[in-house]
Amino acid sequence: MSPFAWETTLHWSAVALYIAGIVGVAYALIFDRPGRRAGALGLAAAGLLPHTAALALRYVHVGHGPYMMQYEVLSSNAWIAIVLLLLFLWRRPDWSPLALVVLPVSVLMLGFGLFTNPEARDLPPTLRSMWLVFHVLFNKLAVGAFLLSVAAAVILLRKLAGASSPLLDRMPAAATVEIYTMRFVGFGMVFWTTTIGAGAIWAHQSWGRYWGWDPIETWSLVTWLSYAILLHARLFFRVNARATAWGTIACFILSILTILVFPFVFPSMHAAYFQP
Amino acid sequence: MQTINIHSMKRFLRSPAIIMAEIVVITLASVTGVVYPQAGAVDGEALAQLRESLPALAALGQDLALDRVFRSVWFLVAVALAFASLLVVAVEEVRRLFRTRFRPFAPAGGLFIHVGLLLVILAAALKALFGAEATVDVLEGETLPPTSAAWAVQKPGVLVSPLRIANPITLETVDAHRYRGGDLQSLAVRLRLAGDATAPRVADVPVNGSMDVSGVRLFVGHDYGPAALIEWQGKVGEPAKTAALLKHERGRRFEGVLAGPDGESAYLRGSVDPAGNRPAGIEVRVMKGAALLSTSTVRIGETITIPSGGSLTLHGAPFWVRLHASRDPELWLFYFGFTCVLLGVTVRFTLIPLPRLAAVPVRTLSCKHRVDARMPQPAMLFALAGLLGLTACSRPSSAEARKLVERYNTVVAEAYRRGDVKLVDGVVGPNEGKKLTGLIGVHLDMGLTLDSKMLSLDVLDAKQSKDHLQVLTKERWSYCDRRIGTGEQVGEKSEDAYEMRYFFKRFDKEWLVDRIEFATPPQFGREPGTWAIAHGRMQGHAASQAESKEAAKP
Ligand code: HEM
Repeated sequence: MSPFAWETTLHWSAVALYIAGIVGVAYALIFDRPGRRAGALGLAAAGLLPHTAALALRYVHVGHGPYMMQYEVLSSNAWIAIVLLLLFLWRRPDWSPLALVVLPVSVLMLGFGLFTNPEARDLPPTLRSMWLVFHVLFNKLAVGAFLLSVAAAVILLRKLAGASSPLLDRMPAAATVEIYTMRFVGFGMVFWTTTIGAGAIWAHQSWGRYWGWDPIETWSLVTWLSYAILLHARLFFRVNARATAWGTIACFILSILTILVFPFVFPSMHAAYFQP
Repeated sequence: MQTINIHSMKRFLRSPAIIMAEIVVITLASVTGVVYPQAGAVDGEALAQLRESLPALAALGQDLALDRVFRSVWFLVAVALAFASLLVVAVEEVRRLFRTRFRPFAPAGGLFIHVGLLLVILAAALKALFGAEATVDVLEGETLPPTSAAWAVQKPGVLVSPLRIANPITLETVDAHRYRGGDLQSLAVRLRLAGDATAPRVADVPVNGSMDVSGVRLFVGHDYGPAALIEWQGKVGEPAKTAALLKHERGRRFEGVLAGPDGESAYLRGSVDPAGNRPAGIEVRVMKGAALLSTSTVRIGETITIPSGGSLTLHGAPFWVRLHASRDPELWLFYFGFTCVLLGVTVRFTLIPLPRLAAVPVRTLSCKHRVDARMPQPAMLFALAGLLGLTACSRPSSAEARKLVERYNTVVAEAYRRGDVKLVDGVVGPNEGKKLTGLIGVHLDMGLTLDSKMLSLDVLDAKQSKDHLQVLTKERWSYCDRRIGTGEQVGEKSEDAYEMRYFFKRFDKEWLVDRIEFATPPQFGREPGTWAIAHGRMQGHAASQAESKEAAKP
């Protein structure tokens, strides 16, 4: 089998295991079988093995990290989101309902990536910089953290709507869920701030200016300021939990648009400079 | 009276409503800067198109300075107010921290963020006032004099003069390597700075690297290519000596055009070899209007004569590179400010125990009511769906289909006119590319080029399924053939009408023409003579012509 055939097989095996994990977690939580929960999350964790192998094979095949094509960007984003989820659930097993939001979104991201152009693109000299690695790594961590905040926000909305089930009752009270939502937002802000910083240093290195209002630079600032607006609205006007949850979801959508959609909509130095 | 003013000013600057307004205005300005076309931006024609298509909106945008939002008064006032608010807030936070002896430590996070933002805004102001940038394209072996005029583009800060390097600097060599697939793998330049007493300083500067010369940073980007050193002797007068800088087109190809002394245009193409070295020769096509006067590959030192008079000599093909220079006196202030912001966000959100994450000391805030924003859930769902809907790919409008067809026809017409099939690479897939190679080749073999012009184009229908797009059009064209060398018309001019069906296919996000066919039998303006001229329009006929020509070959 060709390296790409191996990559594809490993990727789809990971998808299968993740889906099995989703079904298992849903079954365990909806039918209140806590004993099955660990096994289901184990299946999802098992999915990380072929997924990691596929990403490693891709790295060997193309000779650089996952930051040129949507195929590799989405796969690595999904990988990091699932790792963050499993790490958190390992520390907080009661929060396993988070998996019912994070796992499906990550599998969708991975699946969408697998249908895009998998062509191996050579790395242009501009991208051969340590600051790019930080820029991209922390960007993926930010997406993972913001995805966890959205999952917590969804659960918060369900609790606020008075929904009750073995699934939700096992979770902490709405007030605590709201705090965790903001904790995940906070982690995301740390990672997103680092992303902007590393990007500025790299831009100064290769384009001679650390800030030039390039569309993608500007959208990442807008996303950052939107989270700041959410923080200050909570602080100044003490908006209620429901508004906090909806604000978190809206800001997450803006961050996904900034990373995955706007680079293909707005002409920017980011795209133009990748491979002349 | 004095203290009251300062006190009320401070209360104004730290009131929640004003602070939120500042952040929201700066955010909306940033969105405007991306969504609304900006004057002098990389994609400058967007503003011209807006003025043409929506003059009223463009006029309003100009009045509100939306087309230069980051230099607009209202944006600068918002930033200045934010700076003042941050100052007031930071002073208060410092006082409170000292009063409480940094217990709890939580507010220190907010303080670091706000002080960091203050420093970043300050750095931006210093750059606008004292920073400077400059750019120039330099040939290998060329020396830049120590003057500001040596730099082609200068962007000095408001309070500083244009940038210059203290000593003459020479570009000795450009070392470029490409991957097997043709993409740029590495680029480095060797710069020699003439010293006064000390020995000259030589530095190899790669992409992402730099050479610092008394506070000015020299560096290179991706812009480089072969330069055709051409001496063009017109019919009369002195010969013109020019370095035509060829720009990267695709793969290992670089292209450019040079105006001749008697109204001609020389279309130049140089390809670096697989290792990335300088081209040994340059493809030269000399055109005058629609006439192809001469087409040949000229080697270094060789001279070609132009049938209409004059001659053209290629003296060399060294590399050129775009050299950048920048002076950022405020750079470290920006980096220090940014580090404070990052430290603050980290302290505020990761090091503070959870219970205190919610219990933020809001004692100093005047506004106590709790906004109980009952978000009507259905409305939010529609809003989210609408937002996501925006990003779903929509059916091709006839305007988009028209643009694709026009792009194809413009490029193919130019390829026929210049006898240069490589031009079509960017608009056709492999099938159509092979066909056009044959058709244009047949013309060149007969010593002719085709001068064609689209008179009208109507898009009748456009249907898309995932990676395939079919466009039905009605077109009217005018053609005539021209003899290579003189440009004299051969045979009659013809006006033809067609209904064409274009089959576009998506190749790595680009719509390329995979094939075209007549939707209905074409109406020719003239009777085909003994030499039925092969042409992209007369697809069926031309193909057989190309094949018969192929078959007729000994
Ligand atoms: C116009 C600019 C800004 C002003 C005037 C401002 C002002 C304030 C004020 C008055 C507070 C409450 C301080 C306290 O009583 O503890 C605060 C808190 C805070 N601000 Fe800002 N701020 C600004 C921009 C930002 C931005 C862009 C961020 C980016 C993340 C930010 C992050 C924070 C954080 C994290 C807190 C603490 C929130 C909490 O404790 O939950 N601020 N800000």
